[in-house]
Amino acid sequence: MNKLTPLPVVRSATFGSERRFGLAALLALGAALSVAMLAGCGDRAGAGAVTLYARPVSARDPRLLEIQAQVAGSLDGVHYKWFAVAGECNPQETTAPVTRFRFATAAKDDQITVDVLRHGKRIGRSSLDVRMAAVAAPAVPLNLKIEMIETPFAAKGGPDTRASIAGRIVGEPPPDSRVVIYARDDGVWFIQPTTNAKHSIASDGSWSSWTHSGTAYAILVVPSDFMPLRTLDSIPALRGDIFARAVIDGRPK
Amino acid sequence: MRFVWFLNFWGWSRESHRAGLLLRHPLEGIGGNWHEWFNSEATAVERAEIATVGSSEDFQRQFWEWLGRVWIPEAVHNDNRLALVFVGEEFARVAPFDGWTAFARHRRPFPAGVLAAVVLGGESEGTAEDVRPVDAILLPMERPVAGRAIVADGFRAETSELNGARESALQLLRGRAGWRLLMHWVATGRRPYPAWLNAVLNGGWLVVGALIAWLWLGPDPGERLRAMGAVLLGLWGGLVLVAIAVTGVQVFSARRAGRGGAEHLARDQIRLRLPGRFTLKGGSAGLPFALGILHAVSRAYPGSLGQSWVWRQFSDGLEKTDAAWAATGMTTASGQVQPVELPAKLRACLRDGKISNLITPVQRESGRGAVERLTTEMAERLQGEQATLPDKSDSPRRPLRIHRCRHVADAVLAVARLPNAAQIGANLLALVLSGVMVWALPDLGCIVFPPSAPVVVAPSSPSPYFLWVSLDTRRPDFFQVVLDSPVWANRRADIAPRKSQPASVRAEIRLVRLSEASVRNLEEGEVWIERRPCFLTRRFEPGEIVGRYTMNYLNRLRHE
Repeated sequence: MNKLTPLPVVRSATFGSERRFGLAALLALGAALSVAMLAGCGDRAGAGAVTLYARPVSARDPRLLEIQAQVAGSLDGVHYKWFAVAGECNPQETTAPVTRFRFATAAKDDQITVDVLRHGKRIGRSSLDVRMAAVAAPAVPLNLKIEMIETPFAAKGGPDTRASIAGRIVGEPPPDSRVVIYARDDGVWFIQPTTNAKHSIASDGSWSSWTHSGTAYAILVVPSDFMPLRTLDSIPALRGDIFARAVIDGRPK
Repeated sequence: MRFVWFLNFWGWSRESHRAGLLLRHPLEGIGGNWHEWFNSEATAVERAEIATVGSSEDFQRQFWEWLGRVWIPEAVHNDNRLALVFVGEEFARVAPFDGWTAFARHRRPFPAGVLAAVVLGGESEGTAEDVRPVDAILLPMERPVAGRAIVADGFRAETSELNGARESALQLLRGRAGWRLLMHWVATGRRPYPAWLNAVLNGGWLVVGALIAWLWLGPDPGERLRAMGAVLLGLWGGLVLVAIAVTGVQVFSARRAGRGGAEHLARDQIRLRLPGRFTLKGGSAGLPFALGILHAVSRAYPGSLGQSWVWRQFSDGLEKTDAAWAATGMTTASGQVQPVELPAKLRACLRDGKISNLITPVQRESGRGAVERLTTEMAERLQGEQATLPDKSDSPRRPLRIHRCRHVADAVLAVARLPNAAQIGANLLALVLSGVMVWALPDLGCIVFPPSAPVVVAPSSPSPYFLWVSLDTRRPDFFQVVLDSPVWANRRADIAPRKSQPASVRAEIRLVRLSEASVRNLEEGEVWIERRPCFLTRRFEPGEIVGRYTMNYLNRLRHE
C-alpha cells in the first residue's frame, strides 16, 4: 500500500465553492446566452454573439471577479464598455474583452453588462447575473486515509495509454462521497479517465477505475456535486470540499 | 370596277368545283379553269371588258395589282405570298394573258430555284444537265386535300417518294428533328450578336478564366479577395444569363415559328417543281425537296418562319447570290439523310461549274480525299473538253464545297452557315469555365457573402488531453481555430465535421504544455476563430478574426 501524502486545504473558488460556482455559472451562462442571441456583434456588418463569463481571480478575495466576454463576430475596431448595477468594473472601457469586477460593499448579487462598440456605434450587448460566493469553509478533519489496491505503472501518459487503478477509503467518508483521480503527465495533472469523471465508493470503501498512464497519480475524495478541473498545475490541499487527498508515484516497471 | 369579269370567273370556278364539275381546287387548277371559262362560259360583254383591260399595259398592271391587293386575300383567306406568284405563272400560259406584257415576267419556262437537286437522267454518268433547279410552292387550301398534299409539277414521281420530304420538313418544323436542329445550333452555331458584342462576350469569358486561374493558382489576393470574387461571380453570372437568355429566346422563337410554319405546311398543298419532264426514280432528291419545301414555307409565310433568326439565316443562306447550293440524299420521315450513288452526282456538279456548295450524305465517297481525287480527275477531263468545245458559261467556275450531313437539320444548319468554329471554341471554353464555376460556387458564395461568425457550442472534449472547439457553422472549411496560450503550445487547427461521439463540427487540439511555461494557471489562453476562405483546392491565408473565447470558458462547456 502506498503512503498518502496530506496536503493543506486550498479553496480555488473565490466565486463561491466549486459546487456553487458551477450552479451560478450555469445560470449566468443561460441568461447570458439568451441575451447574447440578440447581440449584434460579428459577421462583418456586426451580427454575432457575445457571451459573458465570470471566474474568480483569487481564493482570498471572493469580491473580485474576472469578467470575460466570449465574442463571435468580426473583432476589427471593436472595444468594450463595462457596466454594473451596484459594483464597479475596472477598467470600464477596454479593447480586450476582459475586465475585473468588484462587488459593492454588503452586496452579494449584481448584474454586469457589456456594450460592444465599433467606431462609437453599439453592435452588441450582453449581461450576466453574478452572485458572490461564500467564503470557502475551513477544512474539517475527517481522518480519512486512501490506501492503494492497484497502482498503475509509472509511464509516459497521454490519450493513447490505458491502465487500471483501484484503492480503498479508510475511515468514514461523508455519505455520497466520490473519488476524483488525476494522472500527471508532462508536468500537468489531467483528470482521469475523462473530463468531470467522479467515481463512486463501495460500501467497503473501495473504488476502482481505468486511467491513462502518468508518472504520478492523485486521488481526491470529494462531495458528489464537486466540479473538478480537467487540468491542474498542483493538487489542492484539504479543504471544505476535499475530504481526503493522496499523491502517489507510479509503480516502477 | 373593271374586273367584275374576273369575279364572275372565280365564282363560276368555285361553284363548279363544289358541284363536282371541276375536280381540282379552284386555285390549284386556276389556269385550266380560266381556259375553260374564257373559251366556253364568258359572255361577250365579259370578253369585251377583258379585251379593254388587255388593251393597255397600264390596265394590265392595275389588274395585277388588284389581284394581289383585293382578290388574293379574299380568295385564300391567309397571307400566303406564293399564291399570287402561282396565279401569275398559271395565267401567263393561257389566253389572253399570254399576250399581256404585264404577265411577261411570269412567262418563263421554269422558275430559277435557289437550290438544285442532282438527279441523274437515264444512264448519265454526271452531266451539267443533271443539276436541276428545285422549286416549291405552297398553295393555300381551304382544307387538306387527301392524296394531293404534295404534287410533282413538271416531272413524274410516286407520291410516297415525295411524302418523305414533306414529313421530314414537318419533323424539322415541329418535331424532334427541330429539337435536333436547335440543340445543334446551341452547341455549334454562331449567335445573333453584332461583332462587337461577340468580342465583348468572348473577352468576358477570357476574363472569367483569368480570374479563376488567379484565385486558384495565382498569388494570394489578400484584401482584394472579396472584390475579385464579386467580379468573378457577377461577370460569370452575367455571361451565363446572356447566353441562356439569347439561346432561350432564339430556341423559343424558332420553335414557335416552326410550329406556325408546320401548320401552314400541313394544310397547304406543296407543289414541287423540277424541270425535265422526266420520271423520278429513287429517293435521292429527298433532301433537296425537303430543303425546298422549308424554303417555300419561309417564302410563302415570311411572318411565321421569318420571326425566327435561325430560320431567317436558312432563307438568307439559300438566297445569297454568291452561293449556289445543290443537294442530294435520301431522307426518311424522321429526317435522317441516307447514302446515294454519289460520284456521278459530284461529276455533274463539277461539270455544271456554277454550284459552289453541295450537300451530301455522310458516306465514303463524300470524304475529303475522295472528293479531291474526283475534282482533280474532273479538272483534267474538263480541260480536255474545253479545249475542243467553246465555253458557254458566262460565270467563272467555282470551287465546290462539300457539306456532309447525317440529318436534314445538319443541312439546314449548313445552308444557314450557322456552324462556327470560333463559337464552338467559345462554347467549349464557357462550358469548361462554367463547370469549374459550379464546382467553386459554394466557395465563391462564401467569399462574396461571408457566412455568419460561428458561435462556440458544446460539446467540449471528454478527454482532458484535448481541447475541442465546436462551432455552429455549416461551412467549417471556411474557418480556422487558433489556440493562443502562455501555457500550452500555440496551435492552428482546421474545423471539420467529426463523427466520433459526441459528433459535432469542431477543431480538436492536442494540449501540449510548454516546457518552460511559468504560468501556473493551466486555463490561461484564448481561442481565436479566423476566417480562412477557400477556392476549389486552395486555402487562402487566414483573414479576419471573427471570434474570441477563453480556455476556461471552453473547458466548462458540457462534453456529453
